[in-house]
Amino acid sequence: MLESFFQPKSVAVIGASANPDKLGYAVLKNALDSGYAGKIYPINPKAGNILGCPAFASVEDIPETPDLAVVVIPYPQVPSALESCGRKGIGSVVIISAGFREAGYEGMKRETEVIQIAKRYGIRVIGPNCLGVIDTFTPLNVTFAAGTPPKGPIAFMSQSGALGTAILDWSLAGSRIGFSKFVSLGNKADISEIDLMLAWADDPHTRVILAYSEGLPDGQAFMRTARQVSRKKPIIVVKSGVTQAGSRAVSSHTGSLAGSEQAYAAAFKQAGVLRAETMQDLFDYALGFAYQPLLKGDRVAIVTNAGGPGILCTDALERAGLSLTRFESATTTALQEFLPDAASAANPVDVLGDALADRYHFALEKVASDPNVDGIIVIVTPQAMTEIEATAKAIGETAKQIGAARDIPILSCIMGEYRVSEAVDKLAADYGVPNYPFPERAASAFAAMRDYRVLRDHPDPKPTRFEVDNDHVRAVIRKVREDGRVSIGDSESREILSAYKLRIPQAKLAATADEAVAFADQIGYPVVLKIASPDILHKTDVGGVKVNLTNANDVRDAFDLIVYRAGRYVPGAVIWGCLVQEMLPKGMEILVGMNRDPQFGPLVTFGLGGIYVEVLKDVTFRVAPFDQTQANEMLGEIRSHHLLDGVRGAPPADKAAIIETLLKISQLVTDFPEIVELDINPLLVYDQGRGAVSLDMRLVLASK
Amino acid sequence: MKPLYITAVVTFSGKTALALGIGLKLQAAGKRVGYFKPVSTQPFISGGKVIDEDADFVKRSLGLNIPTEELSPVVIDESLFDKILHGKANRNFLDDVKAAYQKASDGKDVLIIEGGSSLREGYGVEVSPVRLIDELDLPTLGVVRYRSGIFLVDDVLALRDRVGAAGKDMLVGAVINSVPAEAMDHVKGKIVPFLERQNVRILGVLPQQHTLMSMTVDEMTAIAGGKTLVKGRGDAIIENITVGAMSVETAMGYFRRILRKLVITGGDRADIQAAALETSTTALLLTGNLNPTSTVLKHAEERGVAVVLVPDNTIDAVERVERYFGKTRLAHPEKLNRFRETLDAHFDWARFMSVFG
Repeated sequence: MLESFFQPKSVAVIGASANPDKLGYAVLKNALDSGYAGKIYPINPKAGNILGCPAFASVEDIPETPDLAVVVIPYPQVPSALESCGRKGIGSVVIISAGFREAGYEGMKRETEVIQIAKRYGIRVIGPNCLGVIDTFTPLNVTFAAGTPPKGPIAFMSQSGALGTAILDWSLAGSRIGFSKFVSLGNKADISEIDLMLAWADDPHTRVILAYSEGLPDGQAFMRTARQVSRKKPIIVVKSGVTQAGSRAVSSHTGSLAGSEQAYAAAFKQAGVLRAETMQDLFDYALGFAYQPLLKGDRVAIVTNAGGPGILCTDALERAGLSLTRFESATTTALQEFLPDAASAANPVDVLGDALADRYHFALEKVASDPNVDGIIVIVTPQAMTEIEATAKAIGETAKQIGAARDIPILSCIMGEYRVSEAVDKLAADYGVPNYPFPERAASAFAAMRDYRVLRDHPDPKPTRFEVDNDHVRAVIRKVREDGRVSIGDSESREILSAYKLRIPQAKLAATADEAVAFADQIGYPVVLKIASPDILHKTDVGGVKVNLTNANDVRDAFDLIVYRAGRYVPGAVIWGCLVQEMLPKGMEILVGMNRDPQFGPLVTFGLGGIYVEVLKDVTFRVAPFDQTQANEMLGEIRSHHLLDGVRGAPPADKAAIIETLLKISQLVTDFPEIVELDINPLLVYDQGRGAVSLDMRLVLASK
Repeated sequence: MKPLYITAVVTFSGKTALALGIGLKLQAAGKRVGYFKPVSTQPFISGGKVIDEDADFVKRSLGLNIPTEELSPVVIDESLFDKILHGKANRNFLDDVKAAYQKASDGKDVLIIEGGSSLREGYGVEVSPVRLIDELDLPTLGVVRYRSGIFLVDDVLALRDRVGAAGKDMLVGAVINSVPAEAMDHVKGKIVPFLERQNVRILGVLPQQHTLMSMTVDEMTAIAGGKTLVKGRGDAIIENITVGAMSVETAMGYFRRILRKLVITGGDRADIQAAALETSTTALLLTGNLNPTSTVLKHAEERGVAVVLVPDNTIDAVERVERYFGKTRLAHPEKLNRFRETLDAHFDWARFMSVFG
């Protein structure tokens, strides 16, 4: 897929120029300097010879059909250039030219025009408004970046071209990082993150896929593709614009709503995508994945020549949920025999400040050979006698001999800069051991490896289908639509819940106090009265709920009071009367909700009700549809999950009933995309085996 | 020729709508219907003339060809008001009205006379509704807008007493307008029987309708002032007003529930604008003279949503629009049709005709 962008047999550079001030010069120069073995055809109306290559007035004049065309001309000429490519039969085009969607309304129209031309000829497009494309293995560089980065196992796509230039420049400084591919996505008018992930999934030169993204084109499609690809190799994404101010910036860029932070977090998790909060994290994680084997267990060993950094590292590992391994006794014994008395032979292994390279080497050999060790962080502080170069070599040799054989990752943390940078560069270049300047960053790289392993090994979801009455739901929705409403009130929600065979309390809508009393008499006291109005969503806020009414007089008084208050607090609200409902025994209050995210679709919420939701925001999210395993995980993800298991002698709650409710809601919101909001609050959950009852639900339909 | 005077207790009760609705109905029944509005306090400049916008709309809808000065013989604009205050009007307004009345009745079976905007109008020019009814012996139909149960009772009884002030029984009946759904049972079940016992014929109870309380994009644009960035459809209906000053998540919650709305927000709130465009929105009123991004404008254009930019801050813009909202004119074909349907369904024509004759 998309091979001709990365391994074209020949390339046309439309707008190639002999003038060093032009981008067309920089692109052609990079292409020539990158060592590209194929033919390069500069296209320039003045033809002649550019940088030693014979130029053509149009791609249509080239004797063969190039696989790839790179467009670096002013935007007004882009459509006709694309037409030429189409007529010539060129299937892949990188449009570097700016002046499209990013340039305002007129630009947006131009972009649409260009994409229509591309569609007509079946041309795939990267850009417009981008920096270009690099493949270091082909090798080919058709960007206007300053230089070609070193070869390496990292493929990087960036929605920001400028950020790309910065990263590439940084990679040129040392030999600590190398790239297999770099793509500047630009406006993503055609090719997006989704296409590139798929294209790179089976690329033998790429071990890890990185992306800087401001917004994804199609959330659900992204999730499907990422789920497949992340089983093969890690995908790490920095998603910017997730705070309120950030998402406003994204909206003003795109003109559409950004996905919410929660939706991104849930979707990435479900798709097996690792999320990096910062660019620094992105490359910290990438280095580990790119150059070292994956961390296969959670047991980490630390070898250090100083106490403080060792403790910092221990804290960071534990915080990340990793553990400090306990060595086999043979390892401890060997370490004890060899190391000075003051040293620590237990984990973290402290070889002391006077450790020379040989002591490090010995300790590392023993630790790396211990079967209880899944990964090692080696900390070196540059003390007066520390043999920095030789110690780095010892680390490298251990990684090469034992780490590779046992397939365990070794990360180095040679701290400092001035004295150590040469050794660090050499360690990376000669042995592929990445270095982290501080122990916490090495620990978080291990944590990312662990996270990836868990995400990768997560089974594909197997959604359960419940036998439900979708026709009934459809009928309720139709009725609401016919009324010209979008909010679905309590009594209609009850019908939907019943159609999905979710338990609801006995209840009836009473238009008058007399009807309310009659029904209460029939089902028996005590009862609950709730205002019935499609316009009132938070019933308790307007005094619209009265509980524990034990006789007819109380019911009558409550009815009048509730209707009076509702009319006062929500002027103009349509009031149908009151819902008279059986009074249920106390249970645990749970919230199950759904909000349709602009990016990813139905985002289902779960949490404990009341203050847990409103004050502590202790909730967790999944993008529907999800399966039983994922629903079960949701229950374990909230901070207060112990309450579900029963604390202080309380019996455990009926988790199976919560999971069933979550799965049914997942099915409902998947089957009915017109539902944009849904809340069951509370779902009353009883002790294990006693089920759950949906006490109150509200729904909102899309307005269209 | 039979005259029918249509009046209301307070302004914006639906008088013009009722006058036009009844006029069209009588026309459909084969009657030659005339119309005029003796006193106008809502002058509007059109074609260099001061006219009454509502009256002009009724005239056109009924297909009448009456010169403006006969349609509204007394138009109280600033300059006339000033003359009255200085005692320099030098006009007998009652005579002018009577003259117009004579002309308007010529060759008609029924003449509909629309009262001013309320029962308290016209005293300054000595042609108050009570005086007109008395002088010209006008059978009178009152329209009362529902505000609350107790106001309704007071308004209808006040109407009865004012119209009967000259000692003649000129009140044909009353129409109760704009009753919200939740109050309908109460009004029909309890208030109407009470009023009937108080000798007022209630000829119709008309339900409240959002379409009728709405304003068009053109009306909103005229009220808000400012610059139109995306034209949208000028006759598209705005039924609700919302303000987008909160977080986008909160806004989305509101926006999803509120249909055919005007969203008033800062020109720089791209997120709120995007949220509005993804829900049922008729128009965006952007404030602070901050131009929105081109992408927002493009989405608005694709969705046919009007975008207007004003220099005011959001609070001022909201106040300005709200002052007019719910009190807008009938001058929109969709609104008129809806009102005629409502009248057909909820106005007791048989009883009206039996009293009016």
